[in-house]
Amino acid sequence: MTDTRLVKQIHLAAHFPGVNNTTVWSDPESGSQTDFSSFVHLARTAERGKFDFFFLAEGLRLREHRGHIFDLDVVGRPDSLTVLAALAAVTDRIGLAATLNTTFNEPYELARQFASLDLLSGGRAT
Amino acid sequence: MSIDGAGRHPAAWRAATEPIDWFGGDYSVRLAQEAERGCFDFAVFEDAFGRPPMGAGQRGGRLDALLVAARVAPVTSRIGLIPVVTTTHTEPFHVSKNIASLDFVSLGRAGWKLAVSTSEEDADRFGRKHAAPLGELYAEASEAADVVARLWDSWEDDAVIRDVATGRYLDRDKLHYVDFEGRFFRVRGPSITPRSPQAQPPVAVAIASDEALAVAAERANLAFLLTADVDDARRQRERILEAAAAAGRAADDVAVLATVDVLLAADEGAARDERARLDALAVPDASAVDTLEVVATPPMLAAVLEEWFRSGAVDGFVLRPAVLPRGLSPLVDEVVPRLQDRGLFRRSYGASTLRGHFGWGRPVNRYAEARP
Repeated sequence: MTDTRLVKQIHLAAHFPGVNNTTVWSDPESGSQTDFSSFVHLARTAERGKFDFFFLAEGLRLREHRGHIFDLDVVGRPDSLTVLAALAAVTDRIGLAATLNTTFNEPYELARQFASLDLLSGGRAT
Repeated sequence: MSIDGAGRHPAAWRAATEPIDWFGGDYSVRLAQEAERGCFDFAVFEDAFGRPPMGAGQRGGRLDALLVAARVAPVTSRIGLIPVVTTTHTEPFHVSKNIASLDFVSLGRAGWKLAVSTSEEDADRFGRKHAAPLGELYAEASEAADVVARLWDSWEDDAVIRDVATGRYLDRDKLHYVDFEGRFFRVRGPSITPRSPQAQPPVAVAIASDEALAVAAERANLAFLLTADVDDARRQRERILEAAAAAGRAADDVAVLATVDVLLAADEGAARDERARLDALAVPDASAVDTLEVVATPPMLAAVLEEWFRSGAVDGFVLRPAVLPRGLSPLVDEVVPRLQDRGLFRRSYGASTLRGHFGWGRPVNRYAEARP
């Protein structure tokens, strides 16, 4: 039996494929990018696969092209921290990570929100 | 039902009869599930920046209320979840998308209790501006609530079309720039979050001043009164409804609830004794507003609620147990059944959204209406 203390192991994270030009939405099997059930499905699946953490990206504006909202890719998403706090209720071990920009968020608020998520998830916030 | 740490009384944490992890997710889940067992309309998750006043024997520390509500959402199914989010230091853009997101993760059970930060200490935590007078804070809060409501409508319900034939994910004509310019905020929009299950989650305001009353009449669906006098409650309710009508709102668009601090025991003497024991550990803030307080037995509380309700003073109550978690079960097991037996309270949930509990439908989108 291999001693895991001696063998360096890979870390894996799962990125929710939301607002992104590589996200496939046109396939009949692709689900909602907004419904909470989609987030639960991916986070639980990643946890079943023993992933280190689940990751949500952020963007505070909708992409525009020549003065119009770009309409060919997935657009719109819920707030990352709110979704992660909810996912803490339906997962046990997987880390919960989010991008949050420092331009439009106050340091005091970010510190408090991440500390809250960390307590509410039993130490799984990133 | 109000969830505020270990309970309303400042010494509540010392009255615990079991070890409790106040800041773990399971604590709030347990309280919300218990309130849901009692068919409560909603739970309020109290919040303020910084620590509560640190008198002798008081407990400090709070979690972000919106995240606590989100943590509770997937493991409850009917009860409304209303976190306090202040408008003084938080941008309406963030408030809008965060409450909308709570509405998504709770499948339509989110609300927002609007509040303001009055202290210089709070202002220092952010370091952006100084504390302002109440009039300015509520003027800003009113504007923030207006911006939030507009952002909630900035996506029409059928904006996401996923039209494979043309390759379009979105019908961009159904997204709207709100282009808001006011005294305090300039917000272009649209929101990054699509229109949520309830579209416009109910907004709550505690009526702690005339300024708060004015904001409630114009912007809120739920007004929480802070008064110990039933006639005063009735007068306040009338003022709110008159001001709401003057603002062009329908009478049934606003529900008025009285805040009640409760401490229950098997007999009145025992309830008073416990109150005295708690007061000896930490005296409640003397400057606090004079809210209705019932230190009594469950039947006595049920009688007070019935009297206030039947007199037409209020539409309901926000109950604040002095000590949590054990102050909640007597409400569910001994007060609620008495109200049910009198036909004054639901025996099971009829709706699964917070708006639904109050009989409010899903509002029409203001921008869709405007389209020629």
